[in-house]
Amino acid sequence: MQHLHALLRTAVRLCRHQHLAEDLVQETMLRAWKAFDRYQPQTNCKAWLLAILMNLWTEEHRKPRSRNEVPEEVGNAPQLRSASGMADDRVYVREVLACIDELPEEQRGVLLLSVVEGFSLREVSEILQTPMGTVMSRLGRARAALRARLFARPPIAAAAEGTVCDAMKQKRF
Amino acid sequence: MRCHEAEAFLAPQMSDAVDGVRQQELASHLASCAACRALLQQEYRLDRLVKAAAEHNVPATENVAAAVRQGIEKETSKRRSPMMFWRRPAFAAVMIAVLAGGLVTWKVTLGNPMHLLCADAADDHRDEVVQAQPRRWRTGPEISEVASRAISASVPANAGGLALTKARICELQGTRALHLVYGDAGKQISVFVMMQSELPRWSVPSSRTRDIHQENDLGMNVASFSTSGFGVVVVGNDGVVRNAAADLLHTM
Repeated sequence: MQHLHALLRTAVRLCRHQHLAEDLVQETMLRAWKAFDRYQPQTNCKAWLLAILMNLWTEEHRKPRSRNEVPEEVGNAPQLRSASGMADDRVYVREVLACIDELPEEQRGVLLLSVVEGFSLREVSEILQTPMGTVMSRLGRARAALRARLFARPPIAAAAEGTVCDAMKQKRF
Repeated sequence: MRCHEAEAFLAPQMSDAVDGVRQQELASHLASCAACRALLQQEYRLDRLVKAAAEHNVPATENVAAAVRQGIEKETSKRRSPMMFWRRPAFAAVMIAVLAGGLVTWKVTLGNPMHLLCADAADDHRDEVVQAQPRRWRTGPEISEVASRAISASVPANAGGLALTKARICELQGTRALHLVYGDAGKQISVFVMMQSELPRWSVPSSRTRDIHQENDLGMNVASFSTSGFGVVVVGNDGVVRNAAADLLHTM
């Protein structure tokens, strides 16, 4: 049950409904238990489980009733401050979740696996059985959509600070 | 590198899609472009926001873990159920009977490639030899030329005591065939010779066993065998078919 939280985290964003997400994860774990003889030791178990989950989601949960389910209400979501703490950069969790939920399913899946679960593009490509170029393209479009909605100020305005940012120094090139 | 090119690779996840040369170009571009540096900041911020938001409203694992354990226990007890023990052999026996019956049916009827080839040959013999439907036949010295074209080999002058009289090229089961006719109006047999490599699998007996497959197609005797890389079918409406097949098996 080690990766249960990761499975639930992904399932909730895919299904956009808590009960459906729980059902999806339960089915995933049962299928994994039945197919455990096919799991190769020393390989990434989390990736294997998420591959099962994504396959199940594609096979069974893209049904009309799922589409008609009302997405989860985020409720009284806390404010998130930007890293710089600037008041006009506040972004609310519900806005981010709404943006993610509005993404097309293919883009949402790639975003969740790469950004949230931390898989490399190659790993995402293997989990989704999708060419890496397609994965890159979907991730690029997902990120562009989120940026356009969440970041009101264009990048050039922030560049007025005129200093090399820390991320540049840390970026692994 | 221009800004629109750099933008595609700024996201942290894109680093494994960027080769060494491109990374150098990206680093150089970022050193001189404030706009792209700001965009890079945004990308990292976006990652933090998405990761934080994704943790929101995730159900507790305890309920799901309990449901999964229950499901596994149910599966396990189903597999251990005494009722299953007698059902499995019974099911297996039924399946074996069905498969065996299907195999027998397949061997003797539709779907059997050997039968299909024999039936096709029998039809051709009926139409072209017995009913003498008009066809362009080669006789005399032209037979060798036709044989050479069809199977790149010569053919026996006699089979089952009957002399070779005419030949033509036709098709059986989609395979090019040399149709030879031995005998004359009173007693005639057709011999169809094909390249075994071009025939559908299992259409003729294996040449290793030197078996002659025999069947009867609506009163027509049919025999087939393989030899020296050829698949051969012999058709006729009397007992000479078996002798002719045996003759050809040894002479070809």
